[in-house]
Amino acid sequence: MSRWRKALSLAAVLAGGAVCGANAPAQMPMLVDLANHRIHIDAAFTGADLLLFGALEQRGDVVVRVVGPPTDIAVRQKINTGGIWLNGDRVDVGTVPSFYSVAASRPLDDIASPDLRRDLELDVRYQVSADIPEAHRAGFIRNFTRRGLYTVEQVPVKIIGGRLFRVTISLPEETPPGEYWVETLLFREGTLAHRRINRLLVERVGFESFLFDLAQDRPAEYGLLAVVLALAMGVTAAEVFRRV
Amino acid sequence: MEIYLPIAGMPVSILLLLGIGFGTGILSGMFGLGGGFLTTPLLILIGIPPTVAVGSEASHIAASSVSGLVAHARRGNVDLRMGLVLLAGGTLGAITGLAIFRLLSRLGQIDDAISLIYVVVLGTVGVLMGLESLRALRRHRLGIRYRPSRQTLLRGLPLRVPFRRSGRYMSIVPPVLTGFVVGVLSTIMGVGGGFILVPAMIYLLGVPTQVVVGTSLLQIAVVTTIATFLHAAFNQNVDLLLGLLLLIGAVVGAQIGSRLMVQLRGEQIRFLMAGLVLLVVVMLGLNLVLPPDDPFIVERVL
Repeated sequence: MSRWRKALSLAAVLAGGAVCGANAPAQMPMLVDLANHRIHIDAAFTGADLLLFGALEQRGDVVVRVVGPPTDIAVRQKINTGGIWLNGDRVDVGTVPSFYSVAASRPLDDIASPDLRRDLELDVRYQVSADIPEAHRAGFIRNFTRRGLYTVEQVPVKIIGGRLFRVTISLPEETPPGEYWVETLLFREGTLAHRRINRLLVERVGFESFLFDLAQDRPAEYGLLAVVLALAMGVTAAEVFRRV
Repeated sequence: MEIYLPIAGMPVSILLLLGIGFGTGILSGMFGLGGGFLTTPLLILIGIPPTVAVGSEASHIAASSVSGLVAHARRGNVDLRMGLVLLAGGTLGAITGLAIFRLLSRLGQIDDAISLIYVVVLGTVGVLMGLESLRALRRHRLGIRYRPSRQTLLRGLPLRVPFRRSGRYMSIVPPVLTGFVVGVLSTIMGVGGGFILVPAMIYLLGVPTQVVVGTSLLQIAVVTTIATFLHAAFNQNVDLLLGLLLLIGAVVGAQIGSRLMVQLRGEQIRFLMAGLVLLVVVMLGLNLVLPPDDPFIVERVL
């Protein structure tokens, strides 16, 4: 079903882009769209693929960066305390993107100079404060990378015939809900030529979302619901098996 | 088939959760215990955050102990006065347990603390149960009949009242303290605490065997109900979907388990149980003792 919808919307937008390109070829160096502007976290959610595609007016290098909603993070180092590994002191990392992914049509080193990449903050390490101990900083980035929340140059942006491009970025099972910025950067001869931003909304839906919101926003009511449900199910189970 | 657990924030196989509920349900039906002391560690071992495992398991135990309580109350196997005295301590224990839980959370030590408490408490219970069942098995081979001793060392304490259903006239101090200790552990560990409460009632309080299970279920049902509410209200760590799936598996498992019980003698079951408990202790213990793959862990700041 969703694959159908993806395919349909892809065809529709590509058709629209072609028409647009025909009418106004000079004004638009790059057209970009997402197959889905909303990703739903429901009971069946085990991660999702974010498909981004677009068209170029001239040849160039394309870099796509997806940045998730900001979150506050702290890191602890496990320390062997009398034979047991216990958490050491907390080191506040500060505010970081809860998701960060960069994909490029060629290795980033070949697309833009280190200075330009730093100016554009085109790597995870520019997103994390340098004020904390390096071991903790690296440990945090390693942790988020392992969980699929931080990925840099894992998948390529595929350029087809020098004009069309597409990339599929995978969102892991623990993708945090919220507003995502999907930034597409066009480079020509090592300089930034054009930049487009698309919004992506990742949201919890359905019964899961109801439970989560209730648990977070009205914990006392959620607690009462939990208690009433548990008692009701317990009494029901006793009745069902009374004669068994 | 996987289902996304809203509070745990991760997808888990439905069959796995039903299976864990079913497996521990069989054991609880065989042994007459809630099985939380196996379910919670299993949930932790499959990757559910320890705090969510504890909070959700409280809701599961509340439901299953209420169902057991209804059945026992119908047969008149509940000493209400004893139950209420236990609960006076148990309620206070649940509140104290939650305070300790929150303190450990604030210190960032709750995950390891849960495992550590499990290793210590379950390790002790497992060793004692194993030794006791070995002695009983040897007695059985030698043909000696065993009667639990009824006298307690707790004479001379104040506030003595009659417990008619249990046929005891004793101070309320030991049952209040017992209820308190079990209430604290119950809330921190996400268990009913029957594995401590039942032996304590038999050996320490001298409650007759036929009312022990029903009366302990009264304490367990009320304390886990309170714990469920407190966890949900203060820690937001109760995943109702997780609790529900475990319960469905457990209800079916318990019915099968209570039929299997007749095939084995009590001390044989206790011996198997002790082995299982010690296995869980070893697995949780290894996680604490072995060097972690990556020593850095990340926590969200709220």
